[in-house]
Amino acid sequence: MYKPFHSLLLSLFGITCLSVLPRATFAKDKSQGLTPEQIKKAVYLDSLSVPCPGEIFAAINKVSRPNWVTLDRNSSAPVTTRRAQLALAVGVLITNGYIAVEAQDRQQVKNIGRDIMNMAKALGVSQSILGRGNNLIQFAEQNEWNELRNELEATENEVKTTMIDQQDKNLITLTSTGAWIRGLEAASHIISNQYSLKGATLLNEPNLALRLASNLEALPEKLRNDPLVLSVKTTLITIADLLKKEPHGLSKAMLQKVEQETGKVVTAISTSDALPNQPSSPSPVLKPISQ
Amino acid sequence: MKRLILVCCFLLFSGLGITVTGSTAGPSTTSTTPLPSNEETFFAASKRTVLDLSGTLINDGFRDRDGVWNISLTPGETSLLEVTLFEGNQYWFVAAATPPAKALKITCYDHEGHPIKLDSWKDSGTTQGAKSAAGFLAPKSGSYFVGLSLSSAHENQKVDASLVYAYK
Repeated sequence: MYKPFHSLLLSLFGITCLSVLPRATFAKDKSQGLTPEQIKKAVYLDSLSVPCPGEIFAAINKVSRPNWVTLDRNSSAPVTTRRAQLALAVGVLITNGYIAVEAQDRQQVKNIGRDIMNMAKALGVSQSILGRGNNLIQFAEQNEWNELRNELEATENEVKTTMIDQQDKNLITLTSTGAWIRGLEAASHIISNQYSLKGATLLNEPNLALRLASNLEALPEKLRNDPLVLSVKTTLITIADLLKKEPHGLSKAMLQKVEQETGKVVTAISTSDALPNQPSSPSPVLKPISQ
Repeated sequence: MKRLILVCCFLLFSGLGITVTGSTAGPSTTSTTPLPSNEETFFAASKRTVLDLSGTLINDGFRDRDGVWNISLTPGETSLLEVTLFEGNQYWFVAAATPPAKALKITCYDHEGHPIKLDSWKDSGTTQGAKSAAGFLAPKSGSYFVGLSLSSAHENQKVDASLVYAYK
């Protein structure tokens, strides 16, 4: 016999489940949006606001099959006494370390570990960096690629912490910038060689490029006016302009332009006596370690 | 009939009791949060907790960023951190605060300040202090803002908190 109360109860239960369960399954974000004033007050933290090279490489590996070995260059640390160049070069080396990890090039990781230790000594950073360098070498020997990624970032942050301890925190921006530019160079090379719109949209970071340029502008006068720093800042602004022109994904031609611009400045960072007509250096602080 | 009503009520209240699931596994821990010793700073304690919590993500293939955001939070206010994320990467943001914090909330916004829908993990509430985690799949590369807010046991008392993030 038909029981209306029974049917009504079941109906109510069904309706309640349908309305409750979706809310119970996903915690919906009910917060309101941010105002421009709130956005302006957002904290920018070098160790988190600047992505590590591992992040973009993880994204690239999802959309393409890069041949990391071709990017894994045998570059040694520049011979220089200029602290700005040293700081930039540490960043470039860190990213080269990530590339070597992607390429699973054990020897290159070890070489980079030694180069980082040498650069750290030239910068006058603490003994702990030597420990990090040794860790890199050890992990490379054991093919601990995930540990290597963690150790590379930890090494970069330890260099930066020591820069703060030595009242040299202005160099932190340079190290982050060097790492990011080298990462962008590698990324633009990979994506332009295996072009896809999906890959091209990965590089949509004009705000970060402008932020890094702005940080360089805020450096003390002597560092700010260093020719290499000026060159890096110009490149960052150029890249930001290029990235803004095609916000829905760079064309292949534009990617090649980005690669070209970043490549020029990475070469300048990595070259001993980086600029012409500079007075010859006294006896070099660093000597490349023979392999 | 009475049995049917009882079963329906039980299922209904069980559904209401579910607060969290997500398409990606969030962090899990059964460890208790020790109170900071007299020698420790509160940042050290919240940092230790957040690193412990985020470490569980590694089992799921995530990689921790090395940096930590340490911040003193005022109840009722949201502090924001700017980050740059990449399309296609999954991200989890993990935060912890020491007592007298009761609950932490993590929110995320795109570069224009629009809120992002998140998968959330909520603390079971068995440990002192507060923990929270939220994650999402980045729909586009670019700038994002991570918001952190808390409700504290005492009005207007600032509480120290730490936040990290992991990606894959």
